[in-house]
This record gives sequence, structure tokens and C-alpha cells, in this order.
Amino acid sequence: MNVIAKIIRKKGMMTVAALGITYTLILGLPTLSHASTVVGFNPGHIIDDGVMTDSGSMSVIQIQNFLNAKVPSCDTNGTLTSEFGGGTRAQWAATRGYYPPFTCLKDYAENGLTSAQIIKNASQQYQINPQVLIVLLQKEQGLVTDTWPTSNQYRSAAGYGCPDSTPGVCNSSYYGFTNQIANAAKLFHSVITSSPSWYSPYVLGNNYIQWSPNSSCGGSTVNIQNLATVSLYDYTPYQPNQSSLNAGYGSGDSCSSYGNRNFYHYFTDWFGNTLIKVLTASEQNSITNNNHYGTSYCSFLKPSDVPVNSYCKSPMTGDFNGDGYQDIAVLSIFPDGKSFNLWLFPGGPSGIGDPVLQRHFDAADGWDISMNKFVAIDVNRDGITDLVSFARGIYDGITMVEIDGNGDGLKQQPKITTDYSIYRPYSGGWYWKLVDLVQGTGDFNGDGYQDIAVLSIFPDGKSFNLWLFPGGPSGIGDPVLQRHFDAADGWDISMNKFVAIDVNRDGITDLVSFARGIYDGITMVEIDGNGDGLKQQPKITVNDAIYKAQPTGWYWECIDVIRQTGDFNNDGYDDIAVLSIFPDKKTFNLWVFPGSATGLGNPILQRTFDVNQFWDASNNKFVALDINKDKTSDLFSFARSAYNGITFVEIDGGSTGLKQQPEIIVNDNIYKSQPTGWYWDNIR
Amino acid sequence: MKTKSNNYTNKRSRKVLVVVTIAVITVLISFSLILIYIYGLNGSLFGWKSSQNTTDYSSTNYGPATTEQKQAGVKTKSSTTSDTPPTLTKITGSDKKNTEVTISAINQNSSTLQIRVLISAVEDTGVCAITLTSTRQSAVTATANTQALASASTCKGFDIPLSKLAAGSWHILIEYSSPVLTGSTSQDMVIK
Repeated sequence: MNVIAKIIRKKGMMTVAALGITYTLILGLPTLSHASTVVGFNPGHIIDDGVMTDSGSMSVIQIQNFLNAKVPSCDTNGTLTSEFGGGTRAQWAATRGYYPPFTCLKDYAENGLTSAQIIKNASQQYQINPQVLIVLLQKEQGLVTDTWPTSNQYRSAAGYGCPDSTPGVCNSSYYGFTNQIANAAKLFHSVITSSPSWYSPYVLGNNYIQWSPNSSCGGSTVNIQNLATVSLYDYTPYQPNQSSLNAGYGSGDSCSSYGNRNFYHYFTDWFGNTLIKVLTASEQNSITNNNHYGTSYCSFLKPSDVPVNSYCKSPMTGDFNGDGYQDIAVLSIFPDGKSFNLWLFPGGPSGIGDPVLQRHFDAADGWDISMNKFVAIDVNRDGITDLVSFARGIYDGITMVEIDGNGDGLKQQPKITTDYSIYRPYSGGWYWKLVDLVQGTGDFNGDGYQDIAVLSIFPDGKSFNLWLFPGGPSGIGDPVLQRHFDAADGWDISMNKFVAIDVNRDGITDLVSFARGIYDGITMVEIDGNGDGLKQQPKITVNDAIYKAQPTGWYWECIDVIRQTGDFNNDGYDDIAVLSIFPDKKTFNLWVFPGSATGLGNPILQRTFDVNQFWDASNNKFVALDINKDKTSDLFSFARSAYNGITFVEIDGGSTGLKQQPEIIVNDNIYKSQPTGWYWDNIR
Repeated sequence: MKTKSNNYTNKRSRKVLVVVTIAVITVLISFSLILIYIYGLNGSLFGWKSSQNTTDYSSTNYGPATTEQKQAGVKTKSSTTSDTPPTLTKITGSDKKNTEVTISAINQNSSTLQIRVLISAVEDTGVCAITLTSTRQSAVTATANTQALASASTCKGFDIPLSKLAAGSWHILIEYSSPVLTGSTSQDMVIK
């Protein structure tokens, strides 16, 4: 063979070999790096409060399945060779006073309860995510992955009462698996709920946190941003140093600690992100658009430059200041799209007065108008209407916020009446974005207290449940399921416009839906309230064929049901006011469906509001209320005027209904003053 | 003697070698770049993400524990079943042993000076004493009981009204004492 060829061949081989080694290194380094390093650990924000308190994240069965999966087989008798030397595991353990059987966590039981049940019980009692407790058992004692746990590991399963300064030495008053988990969950709960009986060495803001129990190793200042993270440091008061983070699950240097690192690492590996996903602007928008705020013209008349939320919500009515006159509550949204003011237009003997500022809700304090669904209701039957918001909570759950009305209006401090954890989405389907508050509140179960009817929409976007939040002497109670409306039976939430009304004057509020019929017609469906709530079979009261007659706008898509019902014609029965919008999308008719002893009658045309007289359906936000306490409801519109100002228009009710000439009662110039949100676009 | 045929064979084999080498290099570099992209850069280029970095916040991993997780568990087990626990240092001339005390937080808001303390022992029978000294006014003192945490303890205090503290430099001394343990720490700070 040619020498040069040999050399080339040899060099070629060497080149290939060298490349192979290089390849191996390139392949190996990133792999090792990825497998080892803890990514994303933020010492000031290890886990979100919402993740920490998601007690419904796993059922008992899911916890059991998880534990089963992590340890497929156990060395219950300790017959295998010990990892720590000293012969078999049983022999090694015996030298320390521990004997078989070595029961795996998945099979462990105490006081007749399985480990999964014990975890779930503590989770529910203290509103702590069971995943947090599972990870705790692993990071403190390695119990989740251990195939031969000894009795002392269960005795101090969560490491509670075990100072890091003296590993393996624990306080006996905290012994016992159930006791350990309960104490741990209670600690987390105490911190997160800011229990006045709990003292924490850490605060929100700057704290000094050591790298390890050895104070000579030092530490650093950590700006702790939330209470869940405070609770983790209360439990394990050390932060991992860089060497610890670089080591992944492995060992760092002599100053490394592993408690909070392992908590984070196990949690993310087993249960995903410790932080709640922040929705992008487009996701927020799509969620908003998926809601059904009860007005069809939101979808097809809404000007493209107007925020959906500001447009689709009409103002609320009620006697918010207890003077016996009904008032209008209006929210004016600030240019940031989040902050808002709450105003009251007080009713009085001479009509609606000028708006009075009640409270400011600032984005800096966490308020966001787009994450609140308000409803007016006299929560406590004190004769004064209150405001309740279904606010968007963590994990898209629901936090109920109440602003009680009193003689001074709605100026009181908002209070959170129901913890979001009750309606946690992963356990009960209560996603905030998928709840739709029925227009108008009422006493749906005849107990004398006003209730809130809520529709929760299923993921198919069609099926829905009807729930009642019953009012009572102590406020709004937990939701009670009334009926399920299934897509398989032809129900579609997006094709129903619900309104609450006492159709038959029996003192119990009923629910009426303007449902979309064939060819975009209207079918009226009634669910009568009784002592049992709204559980009765829905009944079709009117066939769509009656109303469908263009050009007067009687297509389902073209009607807008006024949120408030009332006795517009002074016959003692509540009526429904409906706008039917013409194809020009501006002209509209006003109709009244009159209530009577036999139910709602056929719609009666009240007036036509013609575009040639400068009327425009998309520029009016109507509310109905008895403004002057004459027992007849009137209609008001916040009409859009020049330069996006507000003109207040009143149509008085009377024996003939709402046929009177609309009257402009307030000029827009009074209210237009940014940045307090007094543009027409920005009120609702 | 070299023949034409041999020369041809050598040339051919050289060509094959060069082609094979280039092919191997291309494949290895391409594969390596892909791996670097996925693992080293977390798949963050071009809007792509590797599946390992797109974990949903609600996802639960029902797979078996990894070797690393098991090994970490074994390490934890070995540390908690240690048969030679460290001993605390006995204080000379006292029956008490020493424990570490750390000031974990000092925060000043508009009306209060918040001082928080961590004690490296699980006890709720001790007493904490704080002494704030300054050259500008007499010492300010307070005491508080302790509360046991999971792996340490803390003083049930201290929130000192700023009305009691003149602006300027202060020296903070924390002393902890229980029937069996004692410890102290100190730190300087400035009241604004």
C-alpha cells in the first residue's frame, strides 16, 4: 500500500476518531448540563401562592396512582444489598434499630387510612396543594422513591421538628406520619393566610437567608415576593447556593443546602411549573370574547376600537344608598384598561342626580376591570343593594368580592367573602373565564333573600350548568347546582340570552331565555323558580315563528335584552324590555314583553329609534329602574355623544309602557374628565 | 513496481475516504448542533421549544422516578438516618449549649422597624431579648417569647415603633435563652 495513502487513511481515521470524540463531548456536555442544573429557581419567588394552595390538584386516587408509579416494586423485607454497606438492607437497618417490614409509601397506612388519604385530608383541611406535601415527603425523607423506608422515616416523614443543624435528631412531640403532614400543612397555611397566631422569621421584601445551617458560609439578601415562598423558608430557612443549583439533584460544595432546591426540582419534574402561566394579551382577549355578557350586539355591532368589556356590560341598578330610590352604579375605566372608579347616580324624587364617586380601584393594588364580573344584589336583605364581583382568582379560579351598600352608598372597603380555593378549577370546573352571570338577580328559591344565578360553561363551549348562589342571613352561600344543559340535547350557551324576572308575580324569580331558534328566530324558554330553586324542567313558552319579521329586527342575533326587568306599564307585573336592531345596525325598536298572571305576553312595540334622528343602537347603554319610586320602571340610556362624551337619556314608564318621548336630561360635558374614565367607551 | 491499476485504486480509495470523512463530519456536526439547540439552548431559537421545556403547569408526571431522583432520595435517607448526630457546643461555665441566632429581616416602613430572628433549634420555651443602642439616646429594649417552626424557631417579635428611635446609627443585639440553649447575634443599622 502506498505510504501516502496509508498516512491519509490513518489521518482520515484519526480525523474521524477525533471527530467522534468531539461529537461525544458535544453530545455529552449539553446532556449532562441539562440533566444536572436546576433551571428557573428564583429564591424570591419559588412557588406561586395559587399553586401552593391548589388543594384540589389531585384526588386520593390520583395521589395513589402517582405514588404507585414512582415505586413499581418494593424491598419490603430488605433482602437486597444495602446502598450504605453492612450487608443486606435488613442487616444495615438492624444495626440502627430498624427492622422489616419496610413498607413503601404507596402501601403505608396509619390509623386505617392510606398515605394517599392522609395526604389528601391534610391538603383539604389546610388548603394546601397535595403535590406540595408529596414533594415535602420526598425532599425531607426520600419517601416517595424509597423502596425500603424504615420506621424512623415515617416517624419524621415531613422533617417537622427536625433542625437542620442536627440532622437525624428530631423533636418527638411531632412524631407520626399523620402528625407530620398535618403540622407541615398547618405551617404553610398559617403563613399563607397571615394567621395572627403565627410568627414568621421572614417577611415580604428583603430578608437575609443563609446558604446552609452553617452560618460561616454566609448568605444573601433575598427579596421574597409572595407568602408561599415565605412559608417554604419558614419550613427550610436556607437557600441553595450556585454550586447546589449546578448540581441538580446532586451534591454541591460544603456550603450547599438542598431543601428548597430539591423542593423546586422535584415539583417541576413531577408536577410542572411552580408558577402560574401568565396569559398573553391575545389569550386574555380570546377569553374575554368567549364570555357571554348577555348582549348579542357585542359580537356584531361592537366597534373594533372599543374594548369588549367596556362595551358589553350595561350599568347596574338598585337602591345602593338605602334612601328608598333606585340608583345606577357605573364603572368608569381608566386609560390603563385596568383601574376603574365606581360611581353612583343616585335616584331621587326629581330623578337621577349627578354621579358621586364611591371608590377608586387601582391597578397598582391589583385591580383589573377586565377580571371582574359585577352583579348588583341585596346580599343581606337589609333593603340596601350591594355589589358582588366574581373576580378572577389564581389559576383562573373565582374570588368573590363584596362591596356592601349602606347609607353612604358603595364606599365601604371591598371584602373577599369567599376564598377562591372553594371553586378551584381543577377540582370542580369553576373556571372564571367560563362563568356567565345571569342578567339580574332575584329570589329564585322564595326564601326572601336575593340569589345569584350563574351559568358555568363546559369546555365544549355549548353545554352548561345552571347554579344558584343562594342569599341568606349571613350572605351569599356556596353554589348549588340546579340543572345541567347538555349540548347533546341541543343546548348551546352561546345561543341563549338569559334574564331574571318574576314572570308570574308569585314572589319567586324565574329565568327566561331568549333562545336562538331555527333561521335565527327566537324561542322563549322559561325556567320557573320555586321553593327548590331553578331545578324545574325548562319549558318553551313562545315559538320563534311569531316574531321573525324583518325589517323590524326580529332576528335573534339582532335583539338586545335589557339587563334589568321591571314593571314598565304599571300593571303590577314585571316586564322585559327588548331592543330589536335593524339591518342598518343603528335604527332599533323598543319592545316590552308584558308580564301578566299567565306569564309573559307577546311583545308590544313601544317606539322606533331611527338613524335619521341620529339614533344608533351601538351608541346606547340601557338600564331599567324605577327612578322616582312611582312603582313604574323607567328606561335610561347612557348615550354616546360627540367626542365620546355621555348624554343621559330618560324614557319614563307609565300605564302605556315606554312609549313616551325620550328626554335628554344630562349633558355630556358634566362628566367628561380623563383620567377618571368618563368617556362613553370607558363606562359600563 | 507501481502499475496504472494500483494508482487508480489508490486514487479511488483516497476519494472514497475523503467523501466518507466529509459525510461523517457533516452528519456529526449537524447532529451535534441539533443537540446543542435542544439541550444547551433550551430549544429557544426560532420560537421552537423542546418538549422538555414546555411542561404545562397542571401536568403530572406519572412515570417512574429517574435514577437521579432515586439517588437523591437515597442521599436524603442516609442523612436522616445518620447514627452520629452532631453535638452542640457546651458553653463554658454554663449547663447550656450554644445555638446559632441570626437576624433574618430588618425592614423599616413609615412607622415601624421590623426585626425578625431565626434560631437554629426547634424550641418554644425560650425568650428573645432585643437591645438597640445608639449614641444619640438611651437604649431601647424589648423581649419576646419564641415559636417553634419546622426546623428552627423564631422570636415572636420585634416591631419597634419608629417614634422610639431617633434617626441615625443603631446597634442591634439579639440574645436568646432557653432552659437548654443560648445564643446571640448583633448587627448595625441606620434609621432613616
